[in-house]
Amino acid sequence: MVNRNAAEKALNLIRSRLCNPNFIFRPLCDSPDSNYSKLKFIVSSSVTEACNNSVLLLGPRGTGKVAVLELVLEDLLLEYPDMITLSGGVVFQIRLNGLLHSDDNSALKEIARQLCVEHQLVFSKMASFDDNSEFMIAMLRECGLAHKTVVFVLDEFDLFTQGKQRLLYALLDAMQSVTSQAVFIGVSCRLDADQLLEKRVKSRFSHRKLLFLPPSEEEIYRLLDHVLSLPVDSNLPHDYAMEFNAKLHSMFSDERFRQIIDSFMNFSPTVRHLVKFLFRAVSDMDLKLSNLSFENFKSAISSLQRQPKMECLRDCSILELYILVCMKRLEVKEQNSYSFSAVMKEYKSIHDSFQTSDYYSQDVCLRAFEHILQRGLVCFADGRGRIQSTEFRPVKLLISFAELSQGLKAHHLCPAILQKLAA
Amino acid sequence: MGKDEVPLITRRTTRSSSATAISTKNNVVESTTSTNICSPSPIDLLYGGEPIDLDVLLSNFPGRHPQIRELLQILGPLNAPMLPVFVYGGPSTGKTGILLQLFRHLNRPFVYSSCRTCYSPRILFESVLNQLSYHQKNSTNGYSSVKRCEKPSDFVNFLREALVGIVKSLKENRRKSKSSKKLERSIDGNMVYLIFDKLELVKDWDKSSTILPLLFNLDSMLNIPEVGLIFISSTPPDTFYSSMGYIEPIPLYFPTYNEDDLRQILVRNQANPKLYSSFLDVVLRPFCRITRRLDELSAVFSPLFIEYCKPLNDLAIVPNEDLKRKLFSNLQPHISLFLNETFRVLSQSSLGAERTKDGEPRGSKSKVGTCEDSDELDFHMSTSAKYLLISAFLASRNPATLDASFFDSRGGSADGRKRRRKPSEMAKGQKEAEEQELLSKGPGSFPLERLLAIFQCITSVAEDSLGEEVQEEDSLEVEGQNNPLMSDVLLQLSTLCNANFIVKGGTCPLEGSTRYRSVVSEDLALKVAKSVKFPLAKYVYRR
Repeated sequence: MVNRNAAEKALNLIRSRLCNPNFIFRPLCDSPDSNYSKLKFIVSSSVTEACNNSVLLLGPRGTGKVAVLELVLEDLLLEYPDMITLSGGVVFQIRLNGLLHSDDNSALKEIARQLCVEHQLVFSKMASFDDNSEFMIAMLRECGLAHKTVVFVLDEFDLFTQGKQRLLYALLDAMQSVTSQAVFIGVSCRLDADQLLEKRVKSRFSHRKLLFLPPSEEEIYRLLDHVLSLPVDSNLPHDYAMEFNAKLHSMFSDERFRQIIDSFMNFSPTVRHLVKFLFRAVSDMDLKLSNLSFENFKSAISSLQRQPKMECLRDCSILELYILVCMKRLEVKEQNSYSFSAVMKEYKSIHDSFQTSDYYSQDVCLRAFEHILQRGLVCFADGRGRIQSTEFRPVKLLISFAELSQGLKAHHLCPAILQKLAA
Repeated sequence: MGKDEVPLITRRTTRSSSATAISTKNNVVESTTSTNICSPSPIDLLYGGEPIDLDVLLSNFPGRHPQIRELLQILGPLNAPMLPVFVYGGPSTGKTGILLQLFRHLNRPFVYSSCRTCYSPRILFESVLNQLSYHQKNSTNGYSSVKRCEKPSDFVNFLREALVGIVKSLKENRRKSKSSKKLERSIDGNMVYLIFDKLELVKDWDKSSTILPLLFNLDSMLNIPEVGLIFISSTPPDTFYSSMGYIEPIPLYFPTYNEDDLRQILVRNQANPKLYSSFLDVVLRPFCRITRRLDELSAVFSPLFIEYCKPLNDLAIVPNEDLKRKLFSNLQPHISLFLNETFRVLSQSSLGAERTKDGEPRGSKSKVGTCEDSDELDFHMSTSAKYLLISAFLASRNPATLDASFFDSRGGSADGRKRRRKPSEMAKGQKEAEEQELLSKGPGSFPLERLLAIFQCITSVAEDSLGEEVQEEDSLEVEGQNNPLMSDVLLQLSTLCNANFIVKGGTCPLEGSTRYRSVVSEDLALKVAKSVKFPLAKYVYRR
């Protein structure tokens, strides 16, 4: 019983670690030439020397750009406690997201709202675009005079570069004045995000880029250790934690485990994907066994790496498989565009030549066709045009012939005639 | 599927009853909307009704043990944070039902919104916010939402506020419940879960390119560890890929039921399980070749089972081998009939006719299945609408160049065809193939003027025949060629368009007039023609 409680507490602890990106990326901040230290240098120089800076953080999704940024800001707030004024710290951030605020109006409104929240002012929803932009420029000037650094963080930066880039120009222009003290950080998954900037915006930008790369193998194992090892001096029973850690370390050196990790990282190399994999493995942990075992990781891999089209094919009924095979035959005959009525003709000719037992009326086949449309195995070839009815619109297969024959083989009730026809 | 639906309905009905069960003070509180002392609370976010045991849950959903176990693992023990999860599988495989019952078992608060009832972003956002503020739309607040929320940026801000508020009140409730022992219904844990159902419908929205990435990135935007996100969809996650990326949620697959599970589910709640299972022995396999969806199978099995039980006098008997054979041989002719009507929805009139004329022989309508094939229309249309439909069908079916030969100005039909030599067999076969080719291309489009011209011709024929029958309607003949059937043709046309009998196509770039296309099947056109005694076959073009 004690073991089970301890196992549950350990499970909760590991799960909360996995759902907290700041914890996960902490070990990446140790080395001196990491992105963390470079970013910290940029922001702290802006704080101490009262200058403006701009930088772009680029890298594939899930490599820790925003997490490292938050770590930097947290640590800076700890380092400069003596300059904390009434309205918060010496550094405060304004966060915008390209998904939500790509429109200039809503972006400025959000900036004004966050400024008001930070300084405990009353925010008016009725303020117009000009009011908001005047307010922002005035606040920047005031913050500069009070030696407070404003950090603008723009998530999904590439979405801000659509349109006329008025917001980017306004922000970068405001930072050119001597009185303001701001850091402009853009975060993007597009590695060419700086090429998307207009000429006038680009000239005001410092072209500093920090590239975030997927982790190397030893970094991965360091990460695994950091996340999965139980702390020895917490409220968990001491020998349980030691035993857990010992079993974990012996598993890390197991060849099969290393193979699994390698194959997973070949497939999706970023840290967030690894975290998803670890989460799935840890949630599978058997509380009675109260240890992470190799089987957990193996089942996690198979449940995360799925083949959705194969699953769809296995779920199809025999009539739906017939329709798919007819479509395949039509495509093999190189009919570039064919409709459901042509598929019905092919279906009839198959029935006539092979005398199958599965011959159903047009209505039934149409409904079965609609089922496979819904599942995403076939689609209309004419985009979103809805002028014709379903029977006369051109259709096409969304699975390859190899996938189809593989799916037919895997189907438990597929008649042999279908496999022959699809070959 | 009908059995699984029952718990969903109870959620709606017991929501108010669980609120009133909290304390008797509620009745007074609800009448005065200004003072809300204790009625709205996170308890409103629980599943209405008593929480159930895990065994009950497992027995309610046969064949779903591995999925339920996986879901429980991902949701985790109490207060364990989770990464977003994506539940997918075919339609009627139990995804929504299992998830809601699971939350009933776990006794944790959740917010459920389906993208079918919330069919636009604004309605979706407002539904989630309403549930989080325990706001019910009723006549006192004019059925309005608690906040107007159209933009995603507003939604994320309001959502964050509301979720932080709820998490705080959940933590306070736990402290309070620890101190005071009495509590009618306690909530387990500090976590709140957001469930988005029917996500595949979002792909058809106009704003889907912003809404889908917003939903999938919601957990990293909110950054609140006490919130769990669950997505339910009937299409797999690879159909949601778009140019805007996101970290994919953890997939959880619900395969369609295999035959044994289907049998177990269908036999539940039957009055005589053994009889029904012998019925399933006969019909399940052939029907599973057509479809494996539970809702469609149960819809086609109910009339078939009635047919199966017809020779039995006592519906509670347990059949032995002999009886089973007899019942099977009785059912056999009906099976093939029903196979071809698996997806047919019985209309109201035919269902009613079935019930009234139970055991009497009905001549040509003796078999259950053939009542659909009657030559009568089972919906009502006005006469001019019927003629308009026939004209549209003819206009789509016949090539425009032959209108002159089919319809002369006085409305006569083209019986004066030129005599031709009897064509040879090969030419006949060729012409048949060409005709099939024409048919397979689909109905042609026609401009409005052509439709009106054909309509005019046809109705002048009908006028004559009508005029012979009805002598006293002279008062309707106002002027010369005024035709009582010509009234409001354009109005009828738009009605037919709305009923999807005629489809409006794009405008021709040269002429600038809209073109229409008739999408009725030949069977329906024949039925309509028969109901007005119009000789359709004479007018349809055949090579």
